[in-house]
Amino acid sequence: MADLGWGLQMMLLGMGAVFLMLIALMIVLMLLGRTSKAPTATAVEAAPGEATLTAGDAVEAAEVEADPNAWMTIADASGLTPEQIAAVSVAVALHADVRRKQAAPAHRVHAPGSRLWASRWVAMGRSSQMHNTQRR
Amino acid sequence: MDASTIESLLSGFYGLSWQGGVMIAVGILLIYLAIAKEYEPLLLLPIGSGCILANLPISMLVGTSEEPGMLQLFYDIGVGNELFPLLIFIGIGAMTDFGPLLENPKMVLLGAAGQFGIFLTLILALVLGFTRPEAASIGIIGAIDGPTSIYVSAQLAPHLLGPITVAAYSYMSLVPIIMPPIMRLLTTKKERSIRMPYSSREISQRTRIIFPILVTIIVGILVPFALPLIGTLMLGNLLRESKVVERLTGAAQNELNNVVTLFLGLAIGSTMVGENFIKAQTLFILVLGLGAFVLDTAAGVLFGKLMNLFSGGKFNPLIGAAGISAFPMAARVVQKEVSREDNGNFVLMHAMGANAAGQVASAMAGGVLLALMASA
Repeated sequence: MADLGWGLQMMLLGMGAVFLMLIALMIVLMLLGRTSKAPTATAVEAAPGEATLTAGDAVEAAEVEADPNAWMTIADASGLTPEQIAAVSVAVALHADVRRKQAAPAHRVHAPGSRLWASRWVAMGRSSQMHNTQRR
Repeated sequence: MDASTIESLLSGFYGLSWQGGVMIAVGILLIYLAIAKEYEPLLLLPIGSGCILANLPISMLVGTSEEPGMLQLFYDIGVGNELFPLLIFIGIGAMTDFGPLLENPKMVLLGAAGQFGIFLTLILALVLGFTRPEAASIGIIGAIDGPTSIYVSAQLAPHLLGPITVAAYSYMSLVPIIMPPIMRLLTTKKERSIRMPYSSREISQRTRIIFPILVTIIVGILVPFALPLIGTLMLGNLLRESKVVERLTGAAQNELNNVVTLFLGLAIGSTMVGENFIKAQTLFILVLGLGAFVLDTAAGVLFGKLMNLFSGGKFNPLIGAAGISAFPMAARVVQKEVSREDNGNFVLMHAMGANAAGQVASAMAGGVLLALMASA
């Protein structure tokens, strides 16, 4: 019985301590969230007013004015624009495709999982097997 | 050739025991679960192998106290002094993205609710006749966090390390099977179908860097006993978020984590020696471990219901079940259950926030338990 009382005491103290610490952490995280502002939005607003704009910046600023959704940014810490990220993604995909073709045998040049992945010879063989018209 | 030579040659046969045979079967079962069912294979396969190696007659890999073998050395250098769990925590920190938690700090509370199982299991273990340190070690299975369980039980009840570790990791792999029935039992169809809007908030790198430093300092001051666990977890996360030590981050995520996991698994397996393991006590620990998982899930869902009440019915209570340390499995299970009711309902990011909170909370709970036991 003494052990049971001790166990209940441990639960009250333990869970109380865990909750208090995590509530403190939550408050700190909320304060941290308030102090941090998205840097990209301010950068876009400041761009047209800057005296030392490069040609690229000017083009980007013009695009920002033309496109009402240009303030939207992809959550990427590298600071790349969505267009640059898209271009890099396409280049990576193309490069992976080239590498796959270089590495794979001639009849497996398509991405695994695609219908084209299977060998044509295998496909023909399978098809003729499924549609066997020969009388037994 | 005299009789002693023959005896020496046949020492393997003479050393056979039924307990050793049973434990070899247990080792094979663990290896089977790891390979065929893919239940936590990274841990269960080395544990199963360690178990077999330690239970073979006159196991040279375990050795004697004068001449310790490889497995005993692994135990001494990494488990006996709690080094390996801490090294694994660096790797976990380097792999974890706390972004979902930083986006929605309220989810921290669900991480706390997910720790109720620890203390409820502690009480159950006391009822079953375990001593206080043993009960606390068994209760820590409810943290649903392997390294935390090993760290705490190695300090409080090293003789129970084997069954506690096996229970923690085995049930962790069974989270997708254990959790759903409890989640369905405690919630209505309407509650499970609650949609929660998600607005992505960009977290600046500065915030991501400040987070691990701040958590380490706060926890270090409030609960120094939790500092080894939280400090190493946050160290790994700082490496990741700083983005200036890619090589160290990669090493923590891969080489360090893999090597330590192998050594840890073998060392834990070597503690599962038949004479010490085959006891009614082990069976109780396995049952209590399952109970801890069930209680954690139930407490999380009930706390989710409480948050639903306070939010005016806008909070999906199933997210509460994700407030445990099994990352990201628990969040995936929650999303799967929500999708079962409403295919177009996505609560994954909310659940990931609760899940990340569960990781921090479990390490904190482990530290709190150690602090309470030190004063008991």
